[in-house]
Amino acid sequence: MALPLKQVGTFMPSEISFLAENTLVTIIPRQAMESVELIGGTIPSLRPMRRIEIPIWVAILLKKQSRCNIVPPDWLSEENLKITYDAEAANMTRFSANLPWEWVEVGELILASAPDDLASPPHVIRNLLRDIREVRQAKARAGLKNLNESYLQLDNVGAMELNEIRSFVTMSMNELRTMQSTREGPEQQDADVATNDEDEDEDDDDLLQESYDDSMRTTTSYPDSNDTVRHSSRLGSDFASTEKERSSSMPDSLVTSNHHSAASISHRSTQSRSRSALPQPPIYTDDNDDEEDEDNDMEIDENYLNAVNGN
Amino acid sequence: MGDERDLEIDDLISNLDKDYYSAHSATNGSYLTIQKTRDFNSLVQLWTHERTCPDILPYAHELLDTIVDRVRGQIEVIEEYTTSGDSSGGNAKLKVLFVETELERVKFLVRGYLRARIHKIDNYYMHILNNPDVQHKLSQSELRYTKRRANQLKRYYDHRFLASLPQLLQRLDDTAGGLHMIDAPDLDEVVFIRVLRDSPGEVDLGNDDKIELRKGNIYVLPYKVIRRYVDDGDVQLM
Repeated sequence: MALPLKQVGTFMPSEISFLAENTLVTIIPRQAMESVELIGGTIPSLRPMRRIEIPIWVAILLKKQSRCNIVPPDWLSEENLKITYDAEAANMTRFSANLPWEWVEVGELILASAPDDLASPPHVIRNLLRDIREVRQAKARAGLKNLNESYLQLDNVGAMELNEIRSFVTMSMNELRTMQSTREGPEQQDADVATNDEDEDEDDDDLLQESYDDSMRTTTSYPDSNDTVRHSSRLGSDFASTEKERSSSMPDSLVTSNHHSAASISHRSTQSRSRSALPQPPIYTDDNDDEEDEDNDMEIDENYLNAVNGN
Repeated sequence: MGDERDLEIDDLISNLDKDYYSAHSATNGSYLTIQKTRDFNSLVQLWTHERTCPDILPYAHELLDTIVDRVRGQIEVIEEYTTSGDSSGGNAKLKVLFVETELERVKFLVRGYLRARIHKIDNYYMHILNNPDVQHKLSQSELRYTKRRANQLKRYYDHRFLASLPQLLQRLDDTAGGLHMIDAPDLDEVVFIRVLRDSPGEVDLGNDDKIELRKGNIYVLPYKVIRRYVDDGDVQLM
């Protein structure tokens, strides 16, 4: 495999963090250093106490050698984080615009590498970051209710937050789209598959429709059933033919994938800690792959938690 | 065709930089060396795009050549340092540390870019070989790889089981009878995008559904409807 499964269609948290390391941060050098020519730029010559902007990864290297102090960005101050938290909590339908795109990663990097450069005790900042993250995660989860096949708007979401919901959103929207296109043009797409069971399956429609409703409900864990009704009615009875084909050609496939994602969602909500990417829900795979995915996910999760805790 | 695309990407990045630079140029002795940083940012974007886009994007010949040249240059710098011995004290060591770290970071991106492409080539090799248009998007070595892979797979399948099947069922690229054996990139797949410029226009989602793009908006959309704006550099895949 040219690309490991956990990197297909998504990024690993470490990769998102890698990208964030390229953002610029202000430092106060403690010692002089000549400028260094690099591939992606030049580190300017450093003079003690002369503030300068450099990429975070350079700052972290300098910091490790006690050659500089990192000036935390404004949004990372205790005061601003409190304002942000209030703003986040006040409006449960939008993400506030107070935080930069890489806020999760940059916050973690600075907490891990330069806790002594923060104006407030690191645990205060860490707790505030975690609170903000949980509020925003709750919003992201609530937003999944509105998933449809055409588009989804996620303004002001962070890079890491986006990556966390990526697999689930992509998979669900692609699946919904497939259903929709089957509804619009069943004769083109599925003519050949449908011919086999056209005659016999009329009676099964109700049954299949019911199982579809169930799976939808578990997938997104709707608190109210209105959405479910709307979805199923919109997709309507035409969906039943899709269901038939699927169940005839690949038994259990749809159900399996739905259960899988349902499990991961509820997992997320019961443990409100930061999870990395959702597992890649295998759509038409066998059990072995499922297990493998779980393993990957656990592994990432552990690393990620370590990173969060600053180990 | 490839070159044309490169230019577009360059334009996109240069615009990005202009915004960024004008905001930061006031700082004395900025990190940004415009051209180099622009190239590096294009590389980052190239990698992200290749990883997130369902389609195979045109190979960025020019940029990759430039980057690989600079990688060679940096390797020489490191070699010079190691052969000359530790002459100028701790500071030289620190400088080499930066050079080495950055080198690995750049190599990671280049490798990631190529691997993401090979992953798509592996999946869609038949589609590539059947479409000269798509072949133009590959580099020479990628095309060689595709052909060799196709031949080897065909030989292997023939040897293992295809030879014992009836002649009629031996084809690997059958498209008749409602069966489509050639996997092609699904342009309807949704992608995450961020709008980089102010109001590049409206996106027609079909079904009389339209959305207006504004700078900073983040959307999940089918790649097909947003493709034009990605090519123009108005939006960025994430």
